[in-house]
Amino acid sequence: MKKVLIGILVASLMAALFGCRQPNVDTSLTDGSSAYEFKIFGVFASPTITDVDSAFVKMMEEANGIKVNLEIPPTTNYSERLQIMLAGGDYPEVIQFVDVTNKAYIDAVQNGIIIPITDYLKTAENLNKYSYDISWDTLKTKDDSDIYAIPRTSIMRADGYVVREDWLDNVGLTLPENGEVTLDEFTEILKRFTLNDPDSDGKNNTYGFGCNQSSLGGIDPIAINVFGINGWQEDDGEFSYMHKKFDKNDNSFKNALEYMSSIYEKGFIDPDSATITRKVAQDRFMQGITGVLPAFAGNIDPVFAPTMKKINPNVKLTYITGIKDAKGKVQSAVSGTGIWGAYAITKSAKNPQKIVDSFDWMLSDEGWDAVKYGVKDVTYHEEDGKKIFNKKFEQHIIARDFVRRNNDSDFFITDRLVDDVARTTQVSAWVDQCIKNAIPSMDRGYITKASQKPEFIDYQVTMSEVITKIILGSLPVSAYDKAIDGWYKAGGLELVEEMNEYIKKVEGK
Amino acid sequence: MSKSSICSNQLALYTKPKSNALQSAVQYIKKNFWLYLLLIPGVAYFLIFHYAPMYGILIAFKDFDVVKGVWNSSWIGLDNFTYLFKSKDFFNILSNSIIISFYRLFFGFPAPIILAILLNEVRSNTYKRTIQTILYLPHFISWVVITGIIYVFLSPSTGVVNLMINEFGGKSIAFLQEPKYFRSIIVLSGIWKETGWGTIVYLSAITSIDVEQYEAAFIDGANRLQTILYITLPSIMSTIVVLLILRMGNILRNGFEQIFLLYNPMVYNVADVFETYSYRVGILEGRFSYSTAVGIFQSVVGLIFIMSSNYLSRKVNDAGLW
Repeated sequence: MKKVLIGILVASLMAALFGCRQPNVDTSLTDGSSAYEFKIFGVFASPTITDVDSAFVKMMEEANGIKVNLEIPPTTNYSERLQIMLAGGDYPEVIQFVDVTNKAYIDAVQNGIIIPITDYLKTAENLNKYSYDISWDTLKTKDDSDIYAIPRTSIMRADGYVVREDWLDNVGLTLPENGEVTLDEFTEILKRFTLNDPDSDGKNNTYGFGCNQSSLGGIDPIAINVFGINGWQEDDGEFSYMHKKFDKNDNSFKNALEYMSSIYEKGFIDPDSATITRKVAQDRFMQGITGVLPAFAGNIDPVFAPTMKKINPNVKLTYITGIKDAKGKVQSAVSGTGIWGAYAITKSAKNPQKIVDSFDWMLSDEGWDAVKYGVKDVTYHEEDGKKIFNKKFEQHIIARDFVRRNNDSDFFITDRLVDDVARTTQVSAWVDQCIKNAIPSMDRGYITKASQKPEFIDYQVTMSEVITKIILGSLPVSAYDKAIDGWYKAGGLELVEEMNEYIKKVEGK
Repeated sequence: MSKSSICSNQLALYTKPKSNALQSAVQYIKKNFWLYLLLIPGVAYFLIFHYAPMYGILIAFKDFDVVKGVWNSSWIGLDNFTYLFKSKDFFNILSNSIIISFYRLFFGFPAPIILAILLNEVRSNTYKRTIQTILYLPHFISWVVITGIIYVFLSPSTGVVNLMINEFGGKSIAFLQEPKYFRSIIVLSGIWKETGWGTIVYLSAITSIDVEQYEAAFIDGANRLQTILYITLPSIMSTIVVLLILRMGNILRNGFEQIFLLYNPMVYNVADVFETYSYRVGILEGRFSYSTAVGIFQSVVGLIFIMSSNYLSRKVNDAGLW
């Protein structure tokens, strides 16, 4: 009995001491094949890998002689998981960073966790062909000639707003064919959606506009382009280049705040906005609480329509492509440089060339066809050279999230099961219009040293707090003057100076 | 035993007290060998999972670099603490943490005591047990679910509370965006969730009270309130004191989930506490060294509070944790 007890105790002690260690075995070549195995830690629309996704991954593996393991944390706490993984020291070969201006990414580059891939990209014809040139500038993270990540290209577009067309009918309004409206027309829509019982249920229970918390927790003004705020642009003031939001001698941003605050006060904005996430704002739009929501035109039919039609079969959706500014133009700056995150290769990778080649393959004609439509005989079959899609196309999610070509707006037509040519043409026209409306911000997503200082990072929360309070009416618009003074003191001045130097350099001035 | 041998033993005791104490200790351990052996896993657990990780505290004094690791990162002395104390957020966070904690202490701490005494006075055992089960339930609901319920109840557009206010002709109130309501919501939802569970310790203390005391009191003509005041409360006072002292150690700790899930920039000035601040700077911004410094500050303040309340308790009440 004593021996048994001692045995149990020793075993439990050994388990406590060594139980949490996992042997670090490289499994890449242990299965007898010569396939190079690597892991991708990424954020995808769905955390579940379906048969349809597996078919695509298998195709990619066979085409490239690789074995891919996907680790997909929930999107809601991706940034936390990323930070903890980076601090832990056990890095996957490929990490997807949603934002390459993010401190986690910059630190990982500075610390040497992420390796430069400039040499490996020399043979990557498709990546070079189908990415924006400006994207590569953003990925020269150390401000030298080295590139540190593979861009996940996203077509540069300035998104507009999805609108309840059935509500418009009920309140006696119509949108122009190109979907462009003036600020007054936009406000009128919000007003009637709030006050004129657009859902005809006899109750005062709807709101014009649905918005949500930003990444800093606050809410931001909408339609800022109307007030002349279009990211970093040339300026004839104190600095050669300026972002109107930070221009102390300009009232553009305060005008935008004034407008937002006034429509909030009138009750045209969902009063829950300051406490809800994007997901909840989307749900409230789908439930018929709000009637206008910022959204990508390509998402109207696949994301919103199916759920909304279940709740109310008479739902019709249309789209505002943009709001005209004082000159009658619809132009809106897109943040970033045509990329939605990037794939970085870590120092754990034994064969970075193979990884780059695999991403390059996804943008080749063969790979892109599979990314866009799925694998033949899984999501579709061909009849007389025409692709006939089946229900499984709806599960074709992860591959479509991997990469994008920069010139294929047809990619965003996801409702391929419905053979409605008129609707497809309409959605394509909206997407094209949004692409046309986009103008790049001249900062190219450059990260200044000033923006990485703790005082400056801390001050962002204060800025968000002040902006939210102004919009919600607990602070006057003039409070922004004090906030912007604080911003300059917290490191904003250095940021503006650094940014001016950078833009001058890349613009060759 | 002869007289001389007793004398020599006494002499040995007198001249070699240390070795004798050691001997008796060894003997004591030998006697209780199996108990000490069973103690090892528990001690090992604390050493491995609670004391060894304290090595990580070093990063509060270093410019932590994930690649270089804890030991090889460069020393920066007290820079993180200097930044913390100079930070414009510091006093706001400190005052929020203390105010919310004191509200919880003032309103939340007596709640389970009162509830336990009330439950003790219930005559029907079936009724008492049913009530207890219902009261324990909220403890098992996660804060994520509870905050969801709070949002649904308090929403200015669709919340039931505001619908009632509207029915009576009032205007909707955005409770979660109003600084004047926020702390009350935090404290009340905390009381709702944990009071039932908190009664367990007090109820078990109450059951250990000798029933004869109550019988004697009734014979002497004491009413229910008097038995509560003069028998129940004094009998569970040592439990109350111990729990209060332990609670004082957590004076700067308000928990993360509840506040994080409920707050927004409109109420940052009354809601931001050390936990939410550490999360923002540590996890989201990757400033691990700095958030460790924030954590150490919380722990040191907690230790000071726990020691001083123990000292006070010993002085006033002659009862304490040690």
